[in-house]
Amino acid sequence: MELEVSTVKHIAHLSRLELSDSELERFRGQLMDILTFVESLADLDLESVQPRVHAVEVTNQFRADHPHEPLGTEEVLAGTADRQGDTFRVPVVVDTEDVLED
Amino acid sequence: MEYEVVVGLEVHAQLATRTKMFCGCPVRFGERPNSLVCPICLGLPGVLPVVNESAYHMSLRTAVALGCELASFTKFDRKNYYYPDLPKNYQISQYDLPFAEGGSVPISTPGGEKSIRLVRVHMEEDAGKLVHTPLGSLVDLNRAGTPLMEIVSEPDLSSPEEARSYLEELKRMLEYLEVCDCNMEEGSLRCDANLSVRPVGQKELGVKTEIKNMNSFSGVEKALTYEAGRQIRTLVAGGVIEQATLLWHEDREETSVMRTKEHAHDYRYFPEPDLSPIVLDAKKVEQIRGELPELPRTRWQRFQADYDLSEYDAEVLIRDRALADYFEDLAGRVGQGKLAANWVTNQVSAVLNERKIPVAECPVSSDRLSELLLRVDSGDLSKGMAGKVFDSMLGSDASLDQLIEKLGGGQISDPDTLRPLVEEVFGEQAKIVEDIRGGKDKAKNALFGKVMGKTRGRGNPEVVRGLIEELLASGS
Amino acid sequence: MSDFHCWAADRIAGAVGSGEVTAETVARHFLERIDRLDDKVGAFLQVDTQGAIEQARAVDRDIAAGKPPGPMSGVPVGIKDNICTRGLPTTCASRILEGFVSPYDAEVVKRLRDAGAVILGKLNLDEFAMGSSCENSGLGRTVNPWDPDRVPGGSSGGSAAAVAAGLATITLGSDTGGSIRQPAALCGVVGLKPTYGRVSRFGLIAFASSLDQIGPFAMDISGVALTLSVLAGEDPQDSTCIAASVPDYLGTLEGSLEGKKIGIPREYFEFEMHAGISQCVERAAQVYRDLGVEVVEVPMPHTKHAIATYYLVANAEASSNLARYDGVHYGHRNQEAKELVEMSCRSRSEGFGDEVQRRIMLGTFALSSGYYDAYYLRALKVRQLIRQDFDAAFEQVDALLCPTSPIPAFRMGEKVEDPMQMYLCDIMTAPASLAGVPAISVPCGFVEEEGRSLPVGLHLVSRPFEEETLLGIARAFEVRYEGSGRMPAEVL
Ligand SMILES: [Zn+2]
Repeated sequence: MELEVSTVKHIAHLSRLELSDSELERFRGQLMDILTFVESLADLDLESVQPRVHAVEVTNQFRADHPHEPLGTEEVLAGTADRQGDTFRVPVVVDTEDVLED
Repeated sequence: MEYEVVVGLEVHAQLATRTKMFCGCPVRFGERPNSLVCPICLGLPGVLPVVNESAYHMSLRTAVALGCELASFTKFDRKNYYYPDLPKNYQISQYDLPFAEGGSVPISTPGGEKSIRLVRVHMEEDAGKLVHTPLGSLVDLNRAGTPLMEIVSEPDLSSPEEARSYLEELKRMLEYLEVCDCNMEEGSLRCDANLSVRPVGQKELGVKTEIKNMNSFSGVEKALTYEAGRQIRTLVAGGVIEQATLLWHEDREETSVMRTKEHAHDYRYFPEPDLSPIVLDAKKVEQIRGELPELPRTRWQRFQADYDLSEYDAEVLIRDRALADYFEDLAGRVGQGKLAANWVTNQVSAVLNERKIPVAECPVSSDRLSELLLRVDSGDLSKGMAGKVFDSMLGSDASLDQLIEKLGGGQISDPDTLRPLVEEVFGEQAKIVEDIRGGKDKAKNALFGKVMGKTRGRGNPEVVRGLIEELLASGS
Repeated sequence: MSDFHCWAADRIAGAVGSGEVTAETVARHFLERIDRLDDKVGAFLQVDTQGAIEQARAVDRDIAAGKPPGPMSGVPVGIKDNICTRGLPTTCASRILEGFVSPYDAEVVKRLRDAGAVILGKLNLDEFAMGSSCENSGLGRTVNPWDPDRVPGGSSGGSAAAVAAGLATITLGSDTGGSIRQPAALCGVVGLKPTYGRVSRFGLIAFASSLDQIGPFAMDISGVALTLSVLAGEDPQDSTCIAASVPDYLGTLEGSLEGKKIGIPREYFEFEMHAGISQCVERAAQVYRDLGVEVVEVPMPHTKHAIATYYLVANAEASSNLARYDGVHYGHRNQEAKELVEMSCRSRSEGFGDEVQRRIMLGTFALSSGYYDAYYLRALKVRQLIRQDFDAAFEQVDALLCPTSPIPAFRMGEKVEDPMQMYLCDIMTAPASLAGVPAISVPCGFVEEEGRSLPVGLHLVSRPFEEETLLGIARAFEVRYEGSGRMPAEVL
């Protein structure tokens, strides 16, 4: 399986990973190896096979609509690197879209 | 060339559960930021979601009422995208197997009744709230994980007015079903629209734009009117419509472009491995069907038929389920639908609007109002007088008679005005007069009542009694 | 000096419960060993000396007060560091979670505490449980107690090494494609992956949600049986954890094997394999034959597709499960970035090691538009075929037998540069993970490599929720295997 550098870049961006050019190239090679390996699945006739998501067949698991005690604002914010008052603060959101860099 | 407008709406309704979709945090508006958050809705490492049963049942109730086809098997999926108000960076939603498809919402149009078909209804969790400031974006997760129902219509709406009617009808239904507070300002009901225009007679749909950020019914109507106008003007001027997502700005009454070309989001949906699928329980559905309340549209039609009301009056009355209940109770007590409807749509509604209170807090109960209307109906009280009495009822718990008396405005104390009326009653009720003279003292009350009736309750009781005695004594 | 580290878990619990020894004495014995030996082994990322002694004292107080002792009273346990422990750091051996302290206990941790177990600390792993050698840990280096130049296996390398070195009586690991069984085999201890849905995952930091399962390590089968009795059972916090009755696994260990049948899946032996390992496994099969068990070959035709299927399914889920580590709400955040997307990308690339990033990319790719059907969906379908292989086999036999790992412990660094080679470590174990069936690795011999004796693991697999059968069959071998309980000389 051949992977374009642009595809690897796109995947890295969708994955929110910042990769240097050399890392991109290395991952490209390794991903190609893996994808070539998994291509063996293409030989199987799967037309009539139902996909299996869960290891066990269990259905209709619900919880009652009863409130529990929340953590408390201080504990909620305890792990963040930056807060303002009672909120988490993050750098400005410039673009929310997964736009390709190139 | 004449153009027609094609609109489809996506409505997000917050389900009126006590707790969130996948954790037990309470759902409340306006609390201290990040105070309604637990490890699950904070997306801490290691946590797992569990479906809120009430959220599922409310969703089912809605789908049954909307006439949807319920999926015998449904599941949750993960919708993957990064945003700081989405703690897990995926939203648990439903993708290819929503729990309900099809169904419709009936609306009234100038051309008559129209049925707006639905594509699907699905369940999902809400994101948190993000506030942008120059120094960064601030995240509050109190809303994160609130249960939502997304209701997607077909592009069956042909005008901004129809879109508004559809929303109003849907809102009423959700309120009647008690599954959503439908408060657009607080965001418990939200709406995005897809709009395109095409020359009348053309089959293919035009290029559509998506409009977001409409926060009121009138906002939806205005935004769609604005956008339809923009698209038509563009086409007439020989331009082309570009696929785009637009933001509506209520203050400026115009849209701005959020993103220019329809960027194909890659949400990488896949089945949520942490949640088991749901198999439809036919018995539960039957139970839900059996417990469905009368829906607003049915009630609207019944009000017109049963109480001989105009479409408009019936519409005003059914808009609010509690108001409709108030009216029905009142109409039953008074036996006069139209009279009751008049009072509810005018005086009662005016009070509720003025004080911004729900029907349940109306200072005049339907029971009390019915006493007043019975007097009006029997002709004992003039309309004007009744209005004054009603006003005084708002601030006093005194009995109806006391209020009428206290108002005094109508009280007639002049013997010369009252004497002819008393004489008239003596003439009409010769039998009673004879009885009294035969010693039946108590029958005096009957005479008194008749006279008071003639004065529409305005006669000064003492003067009237005095005149009755006077005439009895005179023997005439 | 006592030899508590050679005691089985039930013996410790019995002695502590009866007041014969105190939990504190036992705890101090293990803490002293950790202090002395773990510099060499590197099993622990975090030792909770103070907390362990306090827990032990609390157990002793309860027993002195006449309260009925819990089934694991005073048993010293170690927890893989991808399982949340309130008040102790939980890192997944990742820099992205360095310093993270969970505000809640995983359900299994709660159950262990309730049973009287004493938690010694947190154990090393491949970062986010992704790996087969423990070399992918971002925070520590664990070696194989049988040969410090070799890997302990992974991802639960710290859990296996701790038991092998006598640094804990019981440890918890997690198994997604072999992460309990393979290190158990490489370290010469018993490791059990219960049926998917047998043990609550609440508090287990997800790698691949539909495959992850928590399970115990011990020197012997009685230890994992006792621990499973404590861990197993429905949890309303985990929708995938089943409400099936939990037998007394320890009490039912010594059952008869009469009428039992064991299957040898031929396809498993078609892979390249260390000759000494296939000999050990063949000898194990002979032990069963000698016991009168019928041993037959069974076809498992889709076995060769398991690794490809496993890596697609597991990493697709992982790409989503690991999306939450973006520096916003907790965990490592890059402080230089001026813009949100940049902040997330940098935080993640700084926080995650290579293997984790590679797997996130693979999983993202398998789910992305245009590739979903060809990769992820296809893998889900093959998963179904693999499960059907197991279902068909279990109509004929009660358990399957094969090696746990085709190779013994390999040298540090040997496979690091070649992810594909590392992935092939799971060929024996991944099918059972995909099928969700219970499986165990039991020591069954040694192979000699460069003058060192390296342990070999026997892999037994059974029907869903029939851990009782699985443990009984494993136990029958254990009592007849002369190497049972053998520990590496360096750490005795
Ligand atoms: Zn919560």
